[in-house]
Amino acid sequence: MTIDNKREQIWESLRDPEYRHQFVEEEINVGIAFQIRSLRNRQDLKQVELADRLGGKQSLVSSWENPDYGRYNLGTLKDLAKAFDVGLLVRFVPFSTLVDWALNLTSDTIAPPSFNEEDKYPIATSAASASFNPVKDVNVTNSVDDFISKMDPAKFPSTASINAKEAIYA
Amino acid sequence: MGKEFTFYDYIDADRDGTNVIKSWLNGAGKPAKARFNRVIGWLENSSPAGSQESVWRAPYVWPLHEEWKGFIEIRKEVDRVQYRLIGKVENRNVFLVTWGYHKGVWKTDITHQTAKERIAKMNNNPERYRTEHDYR
Repeated sequence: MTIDNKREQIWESLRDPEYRHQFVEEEINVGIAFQIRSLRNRQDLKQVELADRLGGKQSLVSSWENPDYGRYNLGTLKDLAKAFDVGLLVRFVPFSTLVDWALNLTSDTIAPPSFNEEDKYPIATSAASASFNPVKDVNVTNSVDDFISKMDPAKFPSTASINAKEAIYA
Repeated sequence: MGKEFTFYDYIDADRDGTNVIKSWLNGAGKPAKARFNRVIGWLENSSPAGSQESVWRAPYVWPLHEEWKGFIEIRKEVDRVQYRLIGKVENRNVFLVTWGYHKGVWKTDITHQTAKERIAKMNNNPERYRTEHDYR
């Protein structure tokens, strides 16, 4: 199956409002739990060692790594980003961006390198940041029409490209 | 970069050609369907079991035991019912063959022998008995 086929499937499922809200919830519940576990493993930390960095208990780290936890707050996420020495993005985005993120997961987006790891390998840094941003074309465009022209209509099952132009010109 | 794993759904080609996994997910309710689809999405791109960054273990994936040894399940609890999606990992393929519920006792819709037969069919006749996981 191509990535476009998969995008079409996910997009079709999101046309159900109840499902798409559950999709957002589960992307957070599952994604954060996966990322905490994966980051901890990448940095070769035991749960108790991460808990020590945060001044908390091992059982709390265990809870955070469980997709059933679902009660993360921003303070916890900021503390975890600091403990892992990685960035943290909390953004409202269009569903197309969320789908792109879901489709472009890699081991480096699941468990991103710490600042020191990136600092040692500047070439890897640019590659990592390029792969991290699912709408990277937006960042290098010089004009709205340039941006619109780079949008592949096949990648947008809805009228997203038209809506994007309307939104930008509004 | 390609995916680490590919998930396949069992197609009941001996009956009506139903994708039994897709059909069950669409009947299990939106929370369960969303959970299973997102866990599959993350697992597809996660490092293989045994490697340093692996998430191929609890609380994401549970190994089954006894007659179901060799199979794994993904879980989601909704309204005190544990929904369980059951499959088997072979190399970088994950064959989803059936589902289960846990409400006091663990129940599946097929026996472990049938599950093993489904795995064999998916391996031996992939065009007829399997399709890449359907997210719809």
